[in-house]
Amino acid sequence: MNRVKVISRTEIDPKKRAAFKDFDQLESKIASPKRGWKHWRYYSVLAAVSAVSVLLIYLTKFADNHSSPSSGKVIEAEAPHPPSHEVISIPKRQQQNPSSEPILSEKFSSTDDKQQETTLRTESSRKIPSMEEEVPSMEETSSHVERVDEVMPVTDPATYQYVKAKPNMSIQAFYKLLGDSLHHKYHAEGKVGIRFKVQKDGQLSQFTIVSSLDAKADSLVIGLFEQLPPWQPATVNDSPVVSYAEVPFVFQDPD
Amino acid sequence: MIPAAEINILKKPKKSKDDFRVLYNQYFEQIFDFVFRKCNDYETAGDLTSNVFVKAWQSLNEFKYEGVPFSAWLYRVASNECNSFFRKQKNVRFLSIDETGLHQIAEEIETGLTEAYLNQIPDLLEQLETSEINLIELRFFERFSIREIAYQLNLTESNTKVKLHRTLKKLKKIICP
Repeated sequence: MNRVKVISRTEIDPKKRAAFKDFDQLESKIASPKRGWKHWRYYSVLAAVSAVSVLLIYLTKFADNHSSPSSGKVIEAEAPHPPSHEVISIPKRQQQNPSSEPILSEKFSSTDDKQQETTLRTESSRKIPSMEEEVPSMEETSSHVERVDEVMPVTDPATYQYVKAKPNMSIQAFYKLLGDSLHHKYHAEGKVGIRFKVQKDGQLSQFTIVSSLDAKADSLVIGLFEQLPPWQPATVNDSPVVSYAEVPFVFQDPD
Repeated sequence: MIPAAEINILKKPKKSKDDFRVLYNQYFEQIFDFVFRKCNDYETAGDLTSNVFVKAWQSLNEFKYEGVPFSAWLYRVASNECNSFFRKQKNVRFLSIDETGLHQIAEEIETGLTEAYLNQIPDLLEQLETSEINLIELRFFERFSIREIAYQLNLTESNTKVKLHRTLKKLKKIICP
């Protein structure tokens, strides 16, 4: 039982009463969701959001650990094709940097092939000058770098074999020929880079100077290359294709 | 008299928030005074009044206009809210009396308007039970009609009259044994 206290009626202060008249506050009270175990829907939404966030954190933290084993599997699948001499196969490159895109379609892998060839060719070009040193009479030490511009037909990377264009003689003989033909014709110090096209029948054309020494040296080198005998064209799977080659021609002072 | 605009609002099957705002502005003072006389505290009265209007909003669409004024329905919500509040909080419940109410009670008891009796009545009221005090309060100090009291207490009109008569008889017995 509540105790009841009888009091004489007091007049209500309208100002104090008006302080409690606030419909907006009431509106927020109505709109705010009720708390309590009965309102499990709100808590379930909260739980779902937290679970998703934890999953995201987990994925971002351990993404590297997850991705590398999967790319490793792809390499294993493509590895069995052994690279042959002068023919560059894709797996070797992929093993060097496995973090790059793990799966490549055949079309893309063939273009990869080209890039691979250029990188390896530059490696071989570094070796050639050492070979040239063995030839004492040569004025010019050089190497030739080729690049395939023509779009290759899409083939199976396992059977794809590209053989770059080369002179009809041995490389040593080729450079000896070059050195003899320009011997004592022009005295200068420096390098002229020449780039030309090797047709399917081996004819050389479209000579351009990549790195220029001076006007006379450039014209001399172009004139020399125009008189060269035809080359062996580059081949893809034993069928000739159009290719480009670059040869650095080094002038040395005989003194 | 109930304004026509209010009847239009109440006859709507679905009431919007703006409709409720109209009703809130119309009845806030009445309900606040009603609650304040029971608890004699501004803060408590403000809390209880806002609770009353929240509950009224939540079940506003259940209210169907059938001749009983909307204020009676609001008073019903308010008295229920106050009763549950006093039951939970075990606070002192106040009964605000005024002279006219006391005179009415004295007339009903037929004791004559002597000052000695009038001064006794407040003490006597404290001896009554809560339900009886509610009835006395609604009838003599809030001055509701029998019909409205019946609606608020969820009783029939005749039952309300009977209960009121018994309460007054009990008072009379205490005053003049």
